[in-house]
Amino acid sequence: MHDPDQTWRRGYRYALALCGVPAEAEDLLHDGWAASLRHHDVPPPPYLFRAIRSRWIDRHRRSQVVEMQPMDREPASEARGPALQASDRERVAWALSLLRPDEREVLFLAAVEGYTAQEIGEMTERPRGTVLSLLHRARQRVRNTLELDAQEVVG
Amino acid sequence: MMDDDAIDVLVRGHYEAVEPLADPPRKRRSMRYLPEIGLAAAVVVVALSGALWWSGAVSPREVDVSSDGGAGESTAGVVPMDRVPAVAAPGDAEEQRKAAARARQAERDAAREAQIGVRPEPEIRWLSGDDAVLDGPDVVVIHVEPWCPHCEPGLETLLDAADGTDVVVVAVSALTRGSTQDEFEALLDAVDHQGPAGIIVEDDVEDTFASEASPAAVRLRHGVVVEAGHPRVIAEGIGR
Repeated sequence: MHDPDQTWRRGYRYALALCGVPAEAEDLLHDGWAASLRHHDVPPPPYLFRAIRSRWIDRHRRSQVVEMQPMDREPASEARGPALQASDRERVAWALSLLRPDEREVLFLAAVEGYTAQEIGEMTERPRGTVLSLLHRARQRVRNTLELDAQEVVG
Repeated sequence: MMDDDAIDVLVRGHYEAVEPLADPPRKRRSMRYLPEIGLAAAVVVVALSGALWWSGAVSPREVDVSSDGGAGESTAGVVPMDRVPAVAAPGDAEEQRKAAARARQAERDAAREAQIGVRPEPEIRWLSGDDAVLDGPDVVVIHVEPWCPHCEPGLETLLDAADGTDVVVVAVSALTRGSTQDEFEALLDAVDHQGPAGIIVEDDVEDTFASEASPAAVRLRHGVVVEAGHPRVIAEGIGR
């Protein structure tokens, strides 16, 4: 039996990694949890993650919201202003917000949940190579953003 | 230059610092032990049936397999049908499981169907409006709770769908989990709900609005339910 509070928190963090918006993450978590209660008193985390992910995909498919982002996206210089003065945590949040949802998702599953690339591939229905590529790109972007900010702070 | 592990540590630290606002919802206590209660009841029924059967208090159906087809008075050759051991055919268990699943689904469908055509009579303490509102030609009643993160967007979706139509949106709350009228009114203000609103006085919100969770909505025509479900589904119905 999983600890419900711990599972709930993990589900929220996963939802936040997917959508990046706290209010929407709460919505996704609530929907996913409610669906999971039909089969489990406390859903196992992978089951909850899948339920949340399905709802996130449904929601975006239905609302036709497709965020287009160029491959070489860099933070705009004028938008980096707030991050310049921010604490480390805010700078990490800023760097994560610049990632694409799929990059943020695999980075979360690997760095926070500790899943292997193979396991993440099975959970997200992506080939292992794609997962590794997304993971590499996500880390690279976070690194670039943080180092760019650090240089500006020093400069 | 930061290595991958350093990035992971920063990311982990970031996510471990965020906390959801609400607590996890629990299954209702009465529902939580339903499987155990059902199993215990089944065991008791089987045990009682067995005891009665062996004591002879229950007389099993009998067929006459004697050569004269039962014309004679002799009871020789009479075989009780239900003492013949049943031979389970291969695949029976799977068939039974499927049949049980079909039966459960049929029950759920029937329950949903049964809500349609019902005239709900909730006991409401009105903040604005009155009971007569519910008898209007096209009314949507949405049940929201101030603590529920889905309720505000659900209500907003409904209000958007009803905007420019003759549909009257009525917001009600049971103020569960210790929430207050002020919080409910703040929720209404947040979505700029100007229509009728009230607080459900009675306890049985689930039966009144045919749902196990908030937000839930019913569409009424002259006081009778014509559609029940999630506010988003009802909003789609208004748009059609």
